[in-house]
Amino acid sequence: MSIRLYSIYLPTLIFVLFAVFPAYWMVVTSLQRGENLYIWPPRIMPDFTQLHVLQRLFTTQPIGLWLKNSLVVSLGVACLSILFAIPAAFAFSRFKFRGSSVIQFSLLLTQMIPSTVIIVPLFIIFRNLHLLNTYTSLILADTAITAPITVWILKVFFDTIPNEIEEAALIDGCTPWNVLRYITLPIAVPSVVAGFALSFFEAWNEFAFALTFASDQEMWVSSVGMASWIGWLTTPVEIMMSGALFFTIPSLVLFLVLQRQLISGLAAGAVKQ
Amino acid sequence: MLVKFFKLCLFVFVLVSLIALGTSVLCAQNVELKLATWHWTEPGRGDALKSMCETFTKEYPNITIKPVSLPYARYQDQMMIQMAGNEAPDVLVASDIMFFSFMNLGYLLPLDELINLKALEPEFLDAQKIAQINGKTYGIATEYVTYALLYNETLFKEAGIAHPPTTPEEFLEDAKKLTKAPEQYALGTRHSMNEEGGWWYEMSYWVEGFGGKWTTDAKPSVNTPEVINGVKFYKEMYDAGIFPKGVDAATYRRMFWQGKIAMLTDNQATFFLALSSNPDLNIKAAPSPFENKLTNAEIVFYTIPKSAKHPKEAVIFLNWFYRNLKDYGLGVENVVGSKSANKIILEKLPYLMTFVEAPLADNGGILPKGYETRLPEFRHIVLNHVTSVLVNNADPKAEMDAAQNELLNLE
Amino acid sequence: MPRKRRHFPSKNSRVQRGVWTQILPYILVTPIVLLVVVFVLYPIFQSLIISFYDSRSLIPQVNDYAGLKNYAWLFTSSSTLVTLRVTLVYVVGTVICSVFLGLIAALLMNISYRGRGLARVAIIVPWATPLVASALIWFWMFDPQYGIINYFLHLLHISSQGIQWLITPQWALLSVILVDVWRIFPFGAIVLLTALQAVDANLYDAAAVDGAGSLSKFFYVTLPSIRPSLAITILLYTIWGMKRFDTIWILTQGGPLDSTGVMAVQIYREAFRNFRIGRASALAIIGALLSTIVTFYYFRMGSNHEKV
Repeated sequence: MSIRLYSIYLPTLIFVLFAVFPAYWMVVTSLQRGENLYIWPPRIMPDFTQLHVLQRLFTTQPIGLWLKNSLVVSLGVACLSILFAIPAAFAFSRFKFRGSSVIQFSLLLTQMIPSTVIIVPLFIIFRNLHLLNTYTSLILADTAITAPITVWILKVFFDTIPNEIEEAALIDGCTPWNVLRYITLPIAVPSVVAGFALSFFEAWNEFAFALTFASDQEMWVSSVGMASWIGWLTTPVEIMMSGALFFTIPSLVLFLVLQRQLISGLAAGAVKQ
Repeated sequence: MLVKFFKLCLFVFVLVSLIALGTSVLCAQNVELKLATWHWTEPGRGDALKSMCETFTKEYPNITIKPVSLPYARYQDQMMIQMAGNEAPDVLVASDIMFFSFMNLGYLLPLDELINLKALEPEFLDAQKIAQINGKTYGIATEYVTYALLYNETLFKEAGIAHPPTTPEEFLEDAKKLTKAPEQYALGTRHSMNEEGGWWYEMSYWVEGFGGKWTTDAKPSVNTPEVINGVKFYKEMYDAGIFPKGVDAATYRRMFWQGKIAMLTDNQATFFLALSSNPDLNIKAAPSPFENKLTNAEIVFYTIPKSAKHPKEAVIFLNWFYRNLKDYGLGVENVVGSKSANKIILEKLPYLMTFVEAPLADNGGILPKGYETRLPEFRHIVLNHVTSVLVNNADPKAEMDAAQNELLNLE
Repeated sequence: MPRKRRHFPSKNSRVQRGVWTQILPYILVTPIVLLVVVFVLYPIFQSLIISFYDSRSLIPQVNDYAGLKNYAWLFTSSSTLVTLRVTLVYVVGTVICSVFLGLIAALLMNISYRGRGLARVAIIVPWATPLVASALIWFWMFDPQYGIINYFLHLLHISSQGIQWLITPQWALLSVILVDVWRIFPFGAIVLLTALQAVDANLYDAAAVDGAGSLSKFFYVTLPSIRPSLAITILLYTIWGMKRFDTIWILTQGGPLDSTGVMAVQIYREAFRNFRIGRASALAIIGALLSTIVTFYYFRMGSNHEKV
């Protein structure tokens, strides 16, 4: 038992504390009486009598609208990324074709440039396509950034799946499409889920594109909405922190649902038979 | 199974996008005037602006105002992108810093032909003359916030200080009495590069108080003895620990409302925000603690971009807006918008005279004459050297000489 | 008549000559290539063009052409060296720490124990929390007067005065690295976790038979098996490090004294403060070139490994 304690539980606890403490601090900061914020020593526990303040968040800000916009965009990005990435990763992993390296490199190139310099050309492209202030522009722009990452995650995973299973199935008369569907993908579920989750997270927190291409108040996603609370004069700390915690929840729920899929024992056992 | 799910998602989002596209196409009946400002989400000012726009639409039913609201920190960036990409709003609100950049890039319409400026002239604030460049007027000054010494009378009484300081030396003495770290501080000020823009206001304020000017005859003059004295004094304040360090403006303003900070060198907007956040606060405004009593100003202009889609309606709105400014009915009664609005507000709250009477430093104080369009570079260089003085104890004269050199060599 | 063999070529065999097999990969990559070319590569190309112009506007005019002026300025300006140095320290710091933490987190998340589902979700929290809010809460935690970090230092008797984290050049970069490592290590954790799933259990059994203990198993079985994913994680962290902007801007705006002025911050400053989009683009292109060099190095290492 003590081995497990020291090699598993204790380190896990440390990690959990490190990861979660700032979020806990957000709770403490948003649930605090104003006069107890700037004191020494600082108060460690949240003040639960202040819960009514959180209500202000929902009554004064269009949280529901931002949530809807964020969900539409992020789910769209996650789905589209997977849709585009699976075939491409499959191609890179299973085929030797001319231009493969060049294409792989250019996908990586998309990760090397800060959004600052491509935002103006992109703005003009979307303007010309009349896609400003639509979900489509955000989904396309974000997917163009997240899909390459997904491709890499999938490709690296596909590379570890031995060819023998697939080739055995092909010899048995299976079409490549069915091979993909019934053999490769089920084994690759962890990486597909990982790619989906990571694309979702990227899109959920993305700010620069969302601000520039969907600046209409009806189209604001959560990151833009929260940034609007940072005013010229002041920033309402409780609103900011409670809003942030609220918008963390969907990502966490998604991950909670998906995390079991990240672990599948299939890969290990697949080659055995 | 996974694939089916994704196909479904694809279908759904295509549907949603079409809907989103469709609705934006449908609303092309009336003229929709896009009014861009960061005020929409501000307490008080935002609501007042919204009700003003509703009243306007009642008078002009075929023109509706569509708010273009952007977070203040990214407002200028986004406006630059939109104007460069020909997607400009119809009415654009610009602070003086932005105004010069926009105008210099040729993004703004000259208003002389479009608006009968002579008719509006009697209402214009003095700040309006800043909007006149090469004989053309590019904007209408609608707001004018100045800086003063805001102080908490209760804390002053507790520390045994009879009246607000009138010289820097007095200021420092009083400040030391008022500081009981960490429960109470004498001052709140921006002092680090992560709030470069705001810090520039503070730095300019103190430097002007000592008689310094960032530029003289359109040339940098940041190493004159007056400027150096200003920097030295700022360093003294920094070392004396009279203000909390590493704290941002939003935080120290809040501390001020809570009575934890005794003084601020800030504007009317902050003054009223403090009062509305804590009505029991016993605060007043006093002239700047310098012999010359100079102060900074931030001016807000209403402009029309050249690539506005509905310039005619924008002009109608601007005319109406300026004439009805005094009936603003603002929650935060600090906006001094026109001469008659000034009078009404001052009748209600006479101690606001401090804000109106304070003599303005050159060009409003924060825009170095001759370098208006290059303010960010100018201030970055100067403040970097001041940071050196503050955190590395560098010699003020050496640092300001280095800054002057860099500025003179700026391409 | 011989039937066309619809057969994947396995990675080490010769390419089969079927027409379908030849064009299939191109069809498979077309969607993503199209997306990426239109929405990213073309803007990058435009950015490259812009780097040869010097203009105050975000969109240069024809007569703003300036040839290599921007690059000349970059190579002769002392601020470029500072930027490169800061970026190097920042990237190396964040990559090493994030990979290290990500790997350990992945190993922990891989094991079966009670409550692991919740632990996994907890470890993801930094990645899931909205960026602006995380930056603001860290800013508050770093507060020299009232922040919780200085309070802990005080409690542990490490420092009674506290450290002025974000306003002192010595500590600012460290603080910023800490915040970003906190934010990004979950990404590595997830990627490495999926890689750990693919490790063949047989290898562990074989190693156990050979008498290997846990540590040996880790170094001789686990690490080599997850090497490709580890490499891609390191690569992605590295090239992302060069373009990371938001947290640093919120925490320090590149200050104090440019001690946290990484490349992306300077690019933003040149584009949107100094109004020199040409210079900003040139700097971005240089950054991309550096990333490319890192990538080639990574590819070479990868192919060397395969030859073994």
